[in-house]
Amino acid sequence: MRFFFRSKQFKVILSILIALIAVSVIFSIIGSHISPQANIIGTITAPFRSAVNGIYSGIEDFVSAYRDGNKLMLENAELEAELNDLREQLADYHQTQAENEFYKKYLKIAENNPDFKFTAATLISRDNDDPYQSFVINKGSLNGVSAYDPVITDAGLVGFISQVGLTTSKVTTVLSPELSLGALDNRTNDSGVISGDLEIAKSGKTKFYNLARSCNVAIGDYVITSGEGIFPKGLLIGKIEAIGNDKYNTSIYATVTPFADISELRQVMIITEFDGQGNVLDGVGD
Amino acid sequence: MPKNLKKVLIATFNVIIFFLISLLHYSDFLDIKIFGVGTTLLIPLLVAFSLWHSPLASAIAGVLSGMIMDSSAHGSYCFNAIVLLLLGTFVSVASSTLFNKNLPSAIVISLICSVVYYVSQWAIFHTFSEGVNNGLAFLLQISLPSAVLTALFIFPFYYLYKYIEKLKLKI
Repeated sequence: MRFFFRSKQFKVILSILIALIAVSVIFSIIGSHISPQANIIGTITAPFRSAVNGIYSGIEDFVSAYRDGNKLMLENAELEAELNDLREQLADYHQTQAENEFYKKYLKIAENNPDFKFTAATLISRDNDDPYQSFVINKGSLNGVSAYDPVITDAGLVGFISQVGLTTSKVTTVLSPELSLGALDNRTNDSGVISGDLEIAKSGKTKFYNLARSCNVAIGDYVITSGEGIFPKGLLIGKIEAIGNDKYNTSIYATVTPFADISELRQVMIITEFDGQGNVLDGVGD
Repeated sequence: MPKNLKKVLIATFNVIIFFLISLLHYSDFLDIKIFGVGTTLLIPLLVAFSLWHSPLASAIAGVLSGMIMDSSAHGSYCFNAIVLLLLGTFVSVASSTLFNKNLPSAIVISLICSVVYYVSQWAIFHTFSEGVNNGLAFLLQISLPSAVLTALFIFPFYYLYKYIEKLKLKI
């Protein structure tokens, strides 16, 4: 082993290690940016990851259609094979129609919030090691995406951009304890903080903390963003499923099921601009 | 078969398998979970690779696959690249000085590497952000079971690389 520590190989490995540690320290100080080497690799591998994800989605759709016993759908698929020429002509039309459907769902949110500016993004990979279901999307700073931009679906809030690269970004979800966002009960206006918890994150739920003991929150109430911090006011978060006392008996918490089904996400919208954005960013996502 | 061509073919195979496993790890294809506990297949793959390769080759395999992981993993800047570089080097050096190149050694090394990976991941990313109770629960419920499950995947990769080594001698 002594020979190894004197060898040229060891010196090369040590140099790579020192360079990586230096990059790591610099970028953890800067924060919210994907490191340069991960940025380059991420940009190169993004098309492969999109392709893998697309293949998986296609297989999943096929299997679920088959599992549901949708015989007509299979017969239709056989007929469609005979009409390949027509399908080629219609391909562009179908793609446009699917995009229109996707955008139509956000039209109401855009109408209610004229100050919002959206960017559509597709999920390209999931961090399967993360119990809080963080994921990577195919849009980055070149598409106008910035750190801490809110990420939503037509159903509700998903999370925020925690690290931004040139062409990809990492999203931290509402299931994560890294996120603490001011929230309100839509019916009673009781305020609290939404933040994740390991135990309930496994079942796709998050916690509504710090509710006053005198509050009137009830099971079935909707929870929305309060507008404090990095999220605009009034975004739907989820529905209260259960209510309990915290361990010191000083406040109440509620278990919330997000409206956005995070485990099944394929496409999301990023709110890149809204009134009041950037007023409060300290301490978020560090 | 010419020696150079043989080397190129084996190197290409290694690049493809590392690239594929790195990519698939962050898709739903390789989302192997038992009771909510996940795996990182790149660790046993790297262990099996490093058993029969030089420290430099193992370090480079580790750093490149770690970089692909860093581009998708939550919160990590160079964490995967650094840890996999160290693990690859350790396995390569240990297999030529401390351990034999056999299955029991591979299992022990795989377990050591998996535990080191998951415990350091927990120590860096989850101890502070989750609070004391959640942090400890994360270690006991997610990190350590994941390490044990990951280590078990050494079997297919060990036999794969053992077969490749035999093939190298035959061709």
